[in-house]
Amino acid sequence: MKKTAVRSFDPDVAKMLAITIVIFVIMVVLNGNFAKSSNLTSMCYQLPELGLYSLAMMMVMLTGGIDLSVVSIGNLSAILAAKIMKYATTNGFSGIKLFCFVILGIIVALCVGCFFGAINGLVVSKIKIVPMLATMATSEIIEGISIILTQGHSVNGAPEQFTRYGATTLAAIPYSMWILILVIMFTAFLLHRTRFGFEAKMVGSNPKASHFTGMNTSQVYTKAYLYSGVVSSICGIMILMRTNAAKADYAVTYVMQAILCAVLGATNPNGGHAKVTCMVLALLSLQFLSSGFNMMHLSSYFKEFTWGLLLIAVLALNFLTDYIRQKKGQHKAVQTTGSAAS
Amino acid sequence: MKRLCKTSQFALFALLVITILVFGVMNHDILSVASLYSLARTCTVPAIFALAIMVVMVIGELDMSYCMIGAFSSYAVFFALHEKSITKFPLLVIFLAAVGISIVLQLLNWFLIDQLHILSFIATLGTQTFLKGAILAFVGSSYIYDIPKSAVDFGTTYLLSASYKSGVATQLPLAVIIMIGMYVLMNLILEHTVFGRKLYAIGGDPDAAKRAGINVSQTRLIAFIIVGVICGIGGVVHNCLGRCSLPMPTDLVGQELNGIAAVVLGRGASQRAKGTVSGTLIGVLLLQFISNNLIMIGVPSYYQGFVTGLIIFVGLVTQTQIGSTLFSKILGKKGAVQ
Repeated sequence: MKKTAVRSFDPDVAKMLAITIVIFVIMVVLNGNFAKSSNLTSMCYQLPELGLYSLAMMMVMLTGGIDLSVVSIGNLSAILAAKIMKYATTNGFSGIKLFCFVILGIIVALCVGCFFGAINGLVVSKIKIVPMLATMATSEIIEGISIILTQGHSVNGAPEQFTRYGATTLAAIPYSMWILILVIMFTAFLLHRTRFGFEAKMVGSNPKASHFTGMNTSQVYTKAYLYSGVVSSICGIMILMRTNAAKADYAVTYVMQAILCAVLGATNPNGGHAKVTCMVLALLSLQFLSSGFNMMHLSSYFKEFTWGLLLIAVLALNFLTDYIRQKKGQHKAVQTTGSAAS
Repeated sequence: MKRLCKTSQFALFALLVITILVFGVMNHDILSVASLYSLARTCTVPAIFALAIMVVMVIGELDMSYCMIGAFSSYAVFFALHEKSITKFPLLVIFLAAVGISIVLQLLNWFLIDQLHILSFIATLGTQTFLKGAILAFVGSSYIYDIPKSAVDFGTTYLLSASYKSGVATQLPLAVIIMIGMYVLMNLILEHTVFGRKLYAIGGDPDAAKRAGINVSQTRLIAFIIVGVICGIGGVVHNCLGRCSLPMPTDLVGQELNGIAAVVLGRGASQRAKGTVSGTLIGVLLLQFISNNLIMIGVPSYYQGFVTGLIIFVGLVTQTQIGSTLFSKILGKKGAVQ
């Protein structure tokens, strides 16, 4: 991690850090209980769902695409896992047999994520449909499959031995938060330390040039969508673990929120640029806003209002800083040296 | 006839006709006049909103907020009338007020997209979230049932009515005329005026359009004003037909992608045009026809999402290079792909 020193002075990270701290301070001033451990723990329970979907979205956005099917993939995996686990509980399995069924459910869910992620990737890279429209269509199809499977009802009845982990903590941090932390670490590793991460950035910033340098661009796309599918299905399993229910249209608004969170977190929607640290900060600031407003007994609509405003404000701020930088005649390359950390 | 076959919308039109015939064979009621009226009625609002997103897509942008803007402006007007407990109010003024509000909101979009160079999809996602929160948190969150009499009258004036064999009557509402009028007008503007050609030029390549002497920023401004007008009218028509005003109609907000799907389906095999008026109308008709009549041929309603998704997907595949090669191979045509 020799780059850490440089990256901490990165203007994007600095800006996002400042925003997060300002929101945190405002919330602490407005409600006394905000910084209490009980509130922080409850935030840890709410955070991972959006966090995982945003990570999935971020990886696809890095390659210049978008994945609108994250939530439907998550829901379908959760439904299949729930069905398998329900079979085990209704037949009264216990002990090692039950454990096997839980593992089977999780594996099937992950396979669903892999399968539809790969399909998304192939459709985008091989058939060359615009990512937004392609994933929109697949999301509709996947949601359709979920509705056909469940007929619109929610599936519950996962064994208590499994759902218990959704409500308990390990070392004062909920299990779901641990999952998020692991995925974040894995993503950071993938982005900054592997060939795939590098290739994804290159393909995102200029697909044609990367193609001519000999990269297998379609493979990179497929991998990115595969990653997104798998992370979405992890999220689906986690939601099942926490709520003990899987539903075809659970939390469909997460798609938009995930895009919002990824873009706030300095992911370039045109591709080629993403920072895990920024995204985590964006996630935190959104959660601070929503928890804080909740504690002030403001409606959840107010939260949505501020989220939208925040997105527009940050984008406008990005434009302004870019504009000023251009006026000063500074080139983009100067950014990384840390001189422009303002 | 030969020229007609060559237009890019022909494949879609053929698909629509085939679907209608297949459905009609399965259930003869679908081929009745009553079914046509019911289709026209359900199509009115989606068709108006699809026209709005089509204009945005023609200039090469995307809008996720158009439905929300329509709903917002209409609800704001009806809410103000409700608060002042006015029950008699000229319909034209309601339309004008809603159109005015939605133009202002679309200008915000224009400012973000054109002046601040924010990616349109993201910017309008922001406005959508922001407006959704704003209307529910600051304006109101209750349904308004006592909308002015003129609006109710407009929604319940029927041109014609017919009934199925079972005796269920369907009517053709007056609002259909507005929808058709808007399509005809938009077709004239886009296909037969210099301004319309400018829009397509910008959609094709903004830089090239600029070098060709088009004032890109100004043209986009006018385009967004047009979108605002369409959204405002759409919102009011939606509320009039439903005879109540609601802050966040779930059949509009959250269904933005259906409008986009209609436009995408309608642009046909040639990717040159980013959207056409006639194609959009056929796209809306196809999507609405399927969702309307799936249940009539005995398919349970929960298959609806799957089938709609599949149709959009097939439509998308036929538009790509690989897809259209395949498509023309099946049809045995030569040189169809260019």
